Amino acid sequence: MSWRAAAQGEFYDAGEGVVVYYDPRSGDTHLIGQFAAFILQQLGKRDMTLAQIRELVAPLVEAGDDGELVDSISTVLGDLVDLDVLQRAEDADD
Amino acid sequence: MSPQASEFALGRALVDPAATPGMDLATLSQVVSQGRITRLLASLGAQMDDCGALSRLPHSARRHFDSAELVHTKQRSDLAYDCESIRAAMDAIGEKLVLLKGGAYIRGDLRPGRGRLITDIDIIVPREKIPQAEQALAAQGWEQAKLDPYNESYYRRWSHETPALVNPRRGTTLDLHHNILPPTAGPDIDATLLFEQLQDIGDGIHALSDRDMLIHSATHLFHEGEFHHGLRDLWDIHQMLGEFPTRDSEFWQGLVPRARELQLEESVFHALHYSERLFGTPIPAAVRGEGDKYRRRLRRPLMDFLFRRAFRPTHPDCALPMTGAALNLLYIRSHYLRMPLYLLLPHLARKAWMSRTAGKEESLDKA
Amino acid sequence: MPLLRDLSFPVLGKALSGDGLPLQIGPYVYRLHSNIPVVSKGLRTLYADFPLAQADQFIDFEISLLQRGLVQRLTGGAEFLFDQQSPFDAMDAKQCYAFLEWGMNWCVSIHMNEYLKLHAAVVARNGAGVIMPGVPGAGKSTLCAALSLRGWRVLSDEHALIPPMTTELVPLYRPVSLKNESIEAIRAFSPDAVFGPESSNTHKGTVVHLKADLAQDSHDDAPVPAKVMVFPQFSTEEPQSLLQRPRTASFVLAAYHSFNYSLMGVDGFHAMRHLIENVACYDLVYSDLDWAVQAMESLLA
Repeated sequence: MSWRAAAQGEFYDAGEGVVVYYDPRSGDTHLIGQFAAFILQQLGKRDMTLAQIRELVAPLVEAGDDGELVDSISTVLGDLVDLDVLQRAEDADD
Repeated sequence: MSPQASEFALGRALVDPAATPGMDLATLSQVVSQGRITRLLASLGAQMDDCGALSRLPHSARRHFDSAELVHTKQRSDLAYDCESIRAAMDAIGEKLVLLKGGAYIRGDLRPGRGRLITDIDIIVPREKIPQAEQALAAQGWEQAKLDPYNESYYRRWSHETPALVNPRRGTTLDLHHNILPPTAGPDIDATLLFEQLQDIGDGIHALSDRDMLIHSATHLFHEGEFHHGLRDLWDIHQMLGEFPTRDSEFWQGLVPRARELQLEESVFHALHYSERLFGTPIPAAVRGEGDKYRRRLRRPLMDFLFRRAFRPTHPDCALPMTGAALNLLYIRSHYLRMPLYLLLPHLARKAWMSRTAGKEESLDKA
Repeated sequence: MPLLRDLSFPVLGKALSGDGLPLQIGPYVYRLHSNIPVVSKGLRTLYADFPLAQADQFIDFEISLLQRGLVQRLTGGAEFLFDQQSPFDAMDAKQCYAFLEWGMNWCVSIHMNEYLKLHAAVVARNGAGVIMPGVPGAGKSTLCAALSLRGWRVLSDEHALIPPMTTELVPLYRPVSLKNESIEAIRAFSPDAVFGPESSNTHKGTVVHLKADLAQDSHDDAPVPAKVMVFPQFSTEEPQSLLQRPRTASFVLAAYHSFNYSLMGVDGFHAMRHLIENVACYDLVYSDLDWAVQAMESLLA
């Protein structure tokens, strides 16, 4: 199963750890964590599986337990789905 | 005979948008004010935009139209987003998403949809699917608004729609209908006839057929208690009558038989009559002829007195004597059409009482 | 342009009960109608320095505050009408001055979208503008009133009007609204303060308005550049402080305080981003007005 951003939204990142995200579909504005914003931005460029996201993110975060990283990615994906800014791409290639 | 709309500023602008920039500033102020009252400001803006008149307006007036257009644009995009979750709910119960009224005009890119403002989304599902539809919509975040038991039982027993659903996250309201007229209104409309002639308006969304949309708008205008929006509804009808015959050369031929099939020809003839009278809508002679007996009935002075006033914006610049009273009378008349008389008085009394205690505080919160 | 003060009291009353009194208020023309004495009295006190608009101008908002018919006269009721419709319930005539001011705000809040509109007080000093968004009760009006009595210019007590993709503030000066304890606080702060009619027992308590167009340039119509955004909070519980706050959090809070950010869609996002990137944002917690005025002055030093 892979994931994709529901729309190409607008980001405002002032380097403060949180990022403003404007979702053009709903017209809603969200304040989301930098980590979530990065993932959302990448998923706006192309659909990715959890493994692909992990691969992309791993070099950017402090080395740690891989299971922990996968867990936090999953949590972030869930939160973004709840905000309706992320969708499951059912026609996944994995 | 020139259309009666020329008797007030907004009407003149609607009938001849190209001439609007030539109006003096005092008249333009009236156009804007009347446009706000009737919720037709953005609709008129769209008309003026078509003929290049909008850009020729003085800035002081222009900004009002631009402001209203922004509201329309936002509603249009909110509607698109909300339709996604409504469609998901309808998919789940194997039904089509069928939009009614303003929502259908906007999503269907119809002429009356340009600049059209909506207050809620109206959809229709077969009556027996209502409980399932409510459940499926609840799963998509559309919740039952809290009603006091009185209103709840009123809706369930006497209305053609369920109590409004709200999406608290979005702040939008959804009205779920199972018919286009309440069961108490008189003619018992077979709603399955409506579902037989749906049209696809894109993205898997449906609307009633052109004829049924027109018929629905006409019945809405003449049976429901929304005469404060009378001018707007009649404008919708005028726009539809301009557009539909160009999409379907059989439109006129089939209109009266269809209205008769639905037992709604009286409302339709009234709508045609007033659209022609107010906006100069061209009506084919054959159709006019068929409506003569209703027109004769309309000549009864009281009806004419009521309707002529109801179609004017409630504004002092075009007020005829007694407008307020005429509007109240119409409100009672249409409630009378909607339900047996013995139900009428308590409902109105409750309504008046409740509106005094709720609702208005909100608008002051930010003041 | 003639000013309202140039009208004698009888002429003012005649205009209000006749063809209406056209006032130029910021970018808008209001035409006011009233047959209630407290309205003409209040206008004469608070709007003396406002320019009168020409009679043949475009009228943005036609407003009436009327006692109509015998029942309203007997019961002391009154009604506010805009476009001949009443957004409010009928009111007590004793509260009607407050309703006039609220209603005048309401027209702009609901209808006008050519600017990004924040629910904020706007002040300026030496040509530099400060936006103070806040929920009712946060203390923005009180601070705004105090600043007007210490040489600051008030651009608005209610609406920051920002043309999208600029940091300009369009002045929309109107008298500053004070509630309950704030009224005494401002009386104590400056004995010279000029107040309009008192409206008691409104849903917000007692309300009076302060004449705050004391600066020379109070009625200039040229936009003023915004330099700072301050989120004021009156509090006797917390220590007074003036602290810079993050831009992203300020973005979201300012959007929350906006009347039309959401309505503007993606243009609202870009307009807000442009604004936030070009002003410094602060939280101001205060309980002492003199201290707060000094803190505000330090921001523009």
